[in-house]
Amino acid sequence: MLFNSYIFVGFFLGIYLFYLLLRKQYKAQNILLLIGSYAFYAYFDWRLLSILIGCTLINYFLAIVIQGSSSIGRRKLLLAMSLVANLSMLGFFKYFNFFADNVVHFLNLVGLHPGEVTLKILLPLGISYYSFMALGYMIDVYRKKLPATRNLLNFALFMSFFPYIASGPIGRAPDLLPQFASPRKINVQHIDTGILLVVWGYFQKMVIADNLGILADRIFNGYTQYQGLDVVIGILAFTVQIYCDFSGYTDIARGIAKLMGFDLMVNFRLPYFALNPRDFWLRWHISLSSWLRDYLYIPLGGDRMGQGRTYLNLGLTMVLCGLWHGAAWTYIIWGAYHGLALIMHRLFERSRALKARWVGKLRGVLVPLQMAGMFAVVAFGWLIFRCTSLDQLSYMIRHAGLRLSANSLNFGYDLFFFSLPLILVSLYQYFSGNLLAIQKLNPWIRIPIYSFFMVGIIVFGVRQSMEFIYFRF
Amino acid sequence: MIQRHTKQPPQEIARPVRRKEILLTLLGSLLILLLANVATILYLPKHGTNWGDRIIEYKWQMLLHMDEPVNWLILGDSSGATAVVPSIIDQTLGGTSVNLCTHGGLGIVNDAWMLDTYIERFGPPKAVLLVHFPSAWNTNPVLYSLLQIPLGWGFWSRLQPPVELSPKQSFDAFLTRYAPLYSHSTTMNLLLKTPWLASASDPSFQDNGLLLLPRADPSAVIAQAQEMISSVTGTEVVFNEVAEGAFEHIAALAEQFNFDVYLANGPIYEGLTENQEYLAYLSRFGDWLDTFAAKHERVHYVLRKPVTFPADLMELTVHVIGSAAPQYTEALVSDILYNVQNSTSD
Repeated sequence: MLFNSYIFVGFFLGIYLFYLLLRKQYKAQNILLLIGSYAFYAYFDWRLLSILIGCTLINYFLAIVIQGSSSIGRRKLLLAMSLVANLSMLGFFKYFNFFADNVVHFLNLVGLHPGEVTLKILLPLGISYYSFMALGYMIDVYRKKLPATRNLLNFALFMSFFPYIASGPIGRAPDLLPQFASPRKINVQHIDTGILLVVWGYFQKMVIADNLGILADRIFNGYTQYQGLDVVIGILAFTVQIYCDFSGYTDIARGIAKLMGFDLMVNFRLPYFALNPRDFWLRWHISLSSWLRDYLYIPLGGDRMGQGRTYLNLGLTMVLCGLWHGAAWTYIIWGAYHGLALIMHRLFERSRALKARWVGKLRGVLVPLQMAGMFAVVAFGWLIFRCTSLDQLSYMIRHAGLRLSANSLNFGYDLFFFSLPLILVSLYQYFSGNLLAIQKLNPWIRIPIYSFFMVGIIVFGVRQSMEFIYFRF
Repeated sequence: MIQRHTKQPPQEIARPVRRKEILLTLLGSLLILLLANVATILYLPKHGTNWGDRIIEYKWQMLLHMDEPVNWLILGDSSGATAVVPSIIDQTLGGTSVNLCTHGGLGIVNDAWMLDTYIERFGPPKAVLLVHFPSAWNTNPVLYSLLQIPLGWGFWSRLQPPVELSPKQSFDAFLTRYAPLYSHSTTMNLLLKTPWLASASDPSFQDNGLLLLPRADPSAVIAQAQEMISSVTGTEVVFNEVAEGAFEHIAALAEQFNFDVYLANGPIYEGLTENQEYLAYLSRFGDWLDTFAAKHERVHYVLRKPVTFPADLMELTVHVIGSAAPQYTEALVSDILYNVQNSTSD
């Protein structure tokens, strides 16, 4: 049941109607939402629901036991049990075949020839998201930042809430559990913002991402037929596609949640306006990057243990960030590439002499140049990310350039046509410093803008319910 | 400006709103959406980029606004629309004629409906010529194409033979007719994204209904022929209820009003007749049409052996270009004359 399918629209409207009818009984609303969330999840594959429920129960009870335990050793042991349970589940479903294949490949290289060990494993939808949410919750309880909840219904809902179960944002228990545990008020501002997020989210996904996805797929899937500017257009098309696909999903998820009175965390803050790698990760997939910062990078020592250790921590965190996206070498290289970019930026930032050159009267010119440079760094990263093999990556790097082909004009026009609305909206958000800048406009200006989005979705929206890229992770 | 906003990523700052504002925004947006839809309903019939839709609209409007009756009423699909030259029919067979051939998506049921509508307006013609692509006599009408016929809602169940729609089809029919922004999104996409390409592709009709195709497209012809051959290999020829009903209705009208009906195969690409599988498939159609014509005194089957053309005289496997249309029409006329002479001597 993808957000961009008719069945989801029907499902949501049905749930929402009952939700509004139960507006004075928030516990009944929670039961409705849990049933709805499990139905939403089971629609993809009902068998995998048991894994989600199992994960929920293990973490729920372990957290209560951790809270009830005063011995540090015992608390550590219980936390370790939880980490092992969550990570081994994630590791098995997501990475078993990848590691098994690579071990077999390595043994083949050294002359040993073990048999095939690849298993037919279904990847449970959203496992990367809900296992990280559970881990975050357990660590927070262990650190005594949050009391373990004794309400199984609320915790089950926290783990499975349908707007974010499939692709995040990776919610934090301290933000979300109190929202599930108290009556929610749906005010006009929630509805206004929710509508904007849903409409703009669908526009980003169905119009921009899916149309540019067709272009990017054509070039990436048949990469040996393209060279010069066509390759560059393919990379740019994917750069816009992945942003609009994920940001569109997040906006729809947040908009739906807002319509029900919940606030989910902001996941994107104009990432392609970032000035440097650090800035980029403060703007891109914020729920993941902040999770990695709080639960991995800082516990590893962060930047408190000397320069060398800081670089190591950064590198390790980003490699794991790459691996989180999927079991493939290209994701690991992509993570390492971003780790390297962050390390380079730190080195660059440390040079006071160079830093001084970025301030002063030239800043107005240098900032856009810096943004363009960072955009190029990120786009190159997406090339690594999108390639399915190292051969493809090598081919596309070698053949990218400015040479035109008979297709270049059409490809370029498609890229321009579908990117233009994103560019205009993003510029407006950037200069107003507000992601909800459109909501601030008076209704007479918003009417043509909303109509434009709706007509765009109807006319240009790709209707084959194309899967969200981040569903795979 | 830039300096002000580069230190921190932007935030979400919602302003307080009143219920009235939300209502105004939503209703205003929906109203504009509705107006855009109405504008599309008015615009598409004359400026749409889908040739199939335009042909249906154009030919039906011709039929509904004809001032005078004709002797020869030419009905059929796009193979006839592009190949039968009415002026040659007028000169060689005598009287007047009009080419009201539409396209293949409608099937022969549209011919029955057009004939009915014509008779209702002018009485029976002297003769009716039905020209269809040789392997498309049994085409089941495509709902989308059917709904492009510019008659009021429900015409499909009023005209003879009727076409019944399921509830789901009725809903689709509603969307197709009254929500063209949604149902004609491919056309709208082209019109809004590349309007300069859309206007360059307007079909060119003559006053007598002939659709003139200016350029051949040999590579498209060859590619389509290969697709056709593979699609008919091992396929049975089955006439569905709607097509059979339409044939019977036309034959009944011919007998009731005493006019002749000529069933003629449209032109085809010569490469198709070089394929034995395809020829065998065509001959099964021929057998069916022979049997049907034999059962009805007023129905005649002409051009049993289809007139073939090389790829450089065709735009698709079933469409000849304008310069080749007279050649097809002359072959058609000569077979009709031969048929008339034979039946007179009998």
